[in-house]
Amino acid sequence: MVKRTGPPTLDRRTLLRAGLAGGAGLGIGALGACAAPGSTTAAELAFWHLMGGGDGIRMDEILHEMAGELSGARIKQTVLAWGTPYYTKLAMASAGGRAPDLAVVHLSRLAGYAPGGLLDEWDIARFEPYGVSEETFAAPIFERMQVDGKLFAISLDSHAFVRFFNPDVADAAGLLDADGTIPAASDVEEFVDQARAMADVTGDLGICYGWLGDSAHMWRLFWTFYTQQGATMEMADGVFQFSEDAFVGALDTIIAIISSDAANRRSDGGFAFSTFTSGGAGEFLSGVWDVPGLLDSGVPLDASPIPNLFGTGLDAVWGDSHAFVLPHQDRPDEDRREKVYEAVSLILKHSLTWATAGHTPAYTPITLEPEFGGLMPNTHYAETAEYLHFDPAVSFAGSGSNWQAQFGQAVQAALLGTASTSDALTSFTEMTDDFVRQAVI
Amino acid sequence: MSSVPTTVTAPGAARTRRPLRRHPLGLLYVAPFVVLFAMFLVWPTIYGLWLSLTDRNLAGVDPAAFIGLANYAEAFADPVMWRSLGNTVWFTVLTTVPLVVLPLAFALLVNLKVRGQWLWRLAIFMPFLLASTVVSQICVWLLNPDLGLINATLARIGITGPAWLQDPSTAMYAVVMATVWWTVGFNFLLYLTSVQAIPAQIFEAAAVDGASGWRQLVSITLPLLRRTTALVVALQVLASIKVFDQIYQMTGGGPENSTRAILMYVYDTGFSSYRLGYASAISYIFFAIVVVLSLAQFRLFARRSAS
Amino acid sequence: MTTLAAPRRTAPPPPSTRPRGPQHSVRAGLVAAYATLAVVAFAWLLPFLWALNTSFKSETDASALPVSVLPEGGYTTSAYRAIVDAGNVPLWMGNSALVAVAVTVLSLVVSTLTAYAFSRLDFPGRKALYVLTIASIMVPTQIFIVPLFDEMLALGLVDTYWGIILPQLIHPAMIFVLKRFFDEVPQELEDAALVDGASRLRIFLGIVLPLSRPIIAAVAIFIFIGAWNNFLWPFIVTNNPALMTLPVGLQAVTPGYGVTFALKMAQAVIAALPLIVVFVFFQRQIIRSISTTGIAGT
Repeated sequence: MVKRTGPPTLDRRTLLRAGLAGGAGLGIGALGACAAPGSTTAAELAFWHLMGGGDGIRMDEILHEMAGELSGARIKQTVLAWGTPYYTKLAMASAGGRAPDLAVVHLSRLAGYAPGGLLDEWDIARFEPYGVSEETFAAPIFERMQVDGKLFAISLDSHAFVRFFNPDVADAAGLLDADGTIPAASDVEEFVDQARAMADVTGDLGICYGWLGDSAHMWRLFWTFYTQQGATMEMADGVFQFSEDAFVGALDTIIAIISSDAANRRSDGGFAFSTFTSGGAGEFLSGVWDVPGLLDSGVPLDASPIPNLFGTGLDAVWGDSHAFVLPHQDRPDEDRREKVYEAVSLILKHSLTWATAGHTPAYTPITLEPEFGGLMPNTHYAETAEYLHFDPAVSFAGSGSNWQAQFGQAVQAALLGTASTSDALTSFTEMTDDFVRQAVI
Repeated sequence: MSSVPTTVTAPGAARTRRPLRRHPLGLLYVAPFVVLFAMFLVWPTIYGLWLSLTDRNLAGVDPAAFIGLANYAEAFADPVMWRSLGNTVWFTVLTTVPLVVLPLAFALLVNLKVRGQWLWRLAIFMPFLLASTVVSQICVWLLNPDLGLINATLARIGITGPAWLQDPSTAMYAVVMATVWWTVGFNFLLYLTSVQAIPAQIFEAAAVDGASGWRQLVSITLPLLRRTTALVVALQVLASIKVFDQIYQMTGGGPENSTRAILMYVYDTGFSSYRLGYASAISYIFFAIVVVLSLAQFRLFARRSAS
Repeated sequence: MTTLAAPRRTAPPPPSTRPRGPQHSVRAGLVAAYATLAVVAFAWLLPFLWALNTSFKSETDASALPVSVLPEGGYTTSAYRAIVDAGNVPLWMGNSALVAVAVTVLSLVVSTLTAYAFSRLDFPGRKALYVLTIASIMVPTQIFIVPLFDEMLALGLVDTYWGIILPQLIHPAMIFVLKRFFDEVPQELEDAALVDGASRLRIFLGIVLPLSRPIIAAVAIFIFIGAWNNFLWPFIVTNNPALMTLPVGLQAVTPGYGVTFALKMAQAVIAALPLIVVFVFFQRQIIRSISTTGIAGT
């Protein structure tokens, strides 16, 4: 193993006082921190995000709703492919000096993104006139919005991984309690038995979960089961520490579910979604962002948190948060910046619409409104906001990170049944070693 | 004129030419090219060498520092780099063989006085006109494990097809299949041009001598196509070794790095992991391999031409 | 001067001159050839036809099991309507056209001038430059994407049309093809004009270029197809979707939401159509272009 020259990662971080613009390699600053060429006028704010699907549609709605309220500026949004490609593009644009005025990132990515000058800081005081302050966010979320004590993100929501189910199928399978909920299974056998009962009703599948070829989706369910065992992943003294037992335990649990006769072992996102919406399955494990698509499909819909299947008594699910960031600009135009502050606060105030995309708004005044309490099936999983687990707080992890993509590659064969879970553990350890060794930040 | 049948007569054969005119103003003619060539080909090559000796990163963490050969040392010890190189070689072997044999066979078939030439040419050549993104999206759809046409067809005859692009044991073959479908048309045209340039009299003479079709193929056609084959192999190796598009688009290098090509690894380390310095070092290792390959091919060609 | 037309095969001798035996085998051979070709052509067209078929289904039918050719709910143009409404694809197509035309025109200007100088004029450093140019044919420029991008950062050309276009103007192989052609143009024509006092440039523009129309067309087609379909460099240098070319936009920007099989196939069909239509109409010229320029690599 070759040692990198230069100070170790942790010390490097303390060196980062001033954000350096890209282009330092030649000592020439990027020319003109103007916004994207040919597409923005002075009154047009370029806004990039990675929300496709129902999220994209709701964001579009919000931008339309607030168009009249934002005086003297217009938001021009662009939606880029989710995941590593998006973060790669955002970094390249920030380095290139033609970054957009505003962008969305996952809070789980902030640790690997904020240090180093790809982002500019927010000034919470500038939000005051628009009714946004530290008090309008839950304390743990506000904590995650900062890196090294600096505010780099303004959170829009939290979103979790949940179990959607078809109440008609569950009822016919005799699984529903009087209050319309499915009793929480206490272990994976019981969970699979419930799925089997639903498969008997549909005559097809009981449960679907579209993970094939989708690293992020594999990670979400894995992290749900991993954290339910009380295990963590973190960097300590330059070493990545995690629980091998919990790792294997989580994979075994997923395999027990997808390899049962109530599931299709090889299902990708499209297959799972269309099987559930066409009534071919009783339950569907996915993220809350699927709510709009599920509602549109007309399938009878309800939801619940994914129960703890390990007997540890811990409520834990995977979760993350979309947050606004200011991609670095060499010489930001303060008038435009002011408009960005105003625009972000307007989006936050319109986040009831965002809630209809399945997310739980981070702007607390919205969650106190009665309309929010009436959203279905949102209220049946709203509790997850209190115990969701973000990805490991290491610089290379997070939603849509390369590490996450590699995680998927490491475990996919085990999920397919063409390799063992110990093979998956070995690949995961090896690839994580590479990331630890190569981490820039 | 070096028109189409160049493959039959050696091109670049010495011609008697009068000496060039002294014309210093010729510099003006080549100036635009020289400037572009210097800026966008020569300079990146030189600058990349310097970059590979630094720890420059895209995120702007610390100014770039000179770190000597540390990047190279790291690259040589980097299992993913070796894996990517191995994948690239494997991909090159897997694609070059069918992309030489199939287009030759197609060209010989089309050359058999069959009707409907335009249709055969259109069908075989058309995919070559598609952008890589289009090819990838179509192939990903065809290869979908349950909803794809390929596995659906296999299911009809009672075979459960693999999850082509999600299974590390089949992903590379799936990408190779897509590549063959996409690019066979180019080599097919090169072969067709050469086959059609062979004078018909040769075959007539052979036929009069009683040589069978098979005999004609082995002792006349194939030897006459040797130069074209050498060219097709050379072009194909150069094209396959720098593969990026369809792998990035179809598998992203997965599953389990089984399809990650070297150029993709350069992209990943440089842009997704922000390590411009390290990525440049990998580029240079790749560059060295390509130069060695090119020189080897050049020598082979030179010897062929001489004999 | 020969033309660029592929040589015609001479007519086969009348069959009566052949003994009877082989004729049977010839006919059987032809039947086998047709059968093989039909299978190959079908296999090669099928992916595209299947994409076309999927693109006219509703998403529900596209993802229905068991997979069937005909959609249960009938054919629909909803996927195409969604693409037109989104508006991205026409925008990217415009960008592709702009970039491909600019690259083709500018490359031709640069390459013909250079090739002519290599062919006719002796200037300081000619040999060295020629050797360097030919050597660069063998090196894929893609290797140096990282330093090139870093250079573009410094020049401030990331996310600009010039950033996409400039690095695509270097075509050493095409310079080589053009030079070989110019070498064949009889010098007597130029000598006569020189005696009459015409300038070099005038001769080049007035005599050599008009004579070179076929080869220039072949090179232009080759460069245009390459630029229209180029993915890697435009993908690296554009982050702003408003500047993306079609192949890049299809990859970088997410269409629609939920299940998008039909939508993606409709995009693929739209993206594929321009060149396919052009090919159907200009098959001869395009094939000639590929054979001429492709073989130039030796």
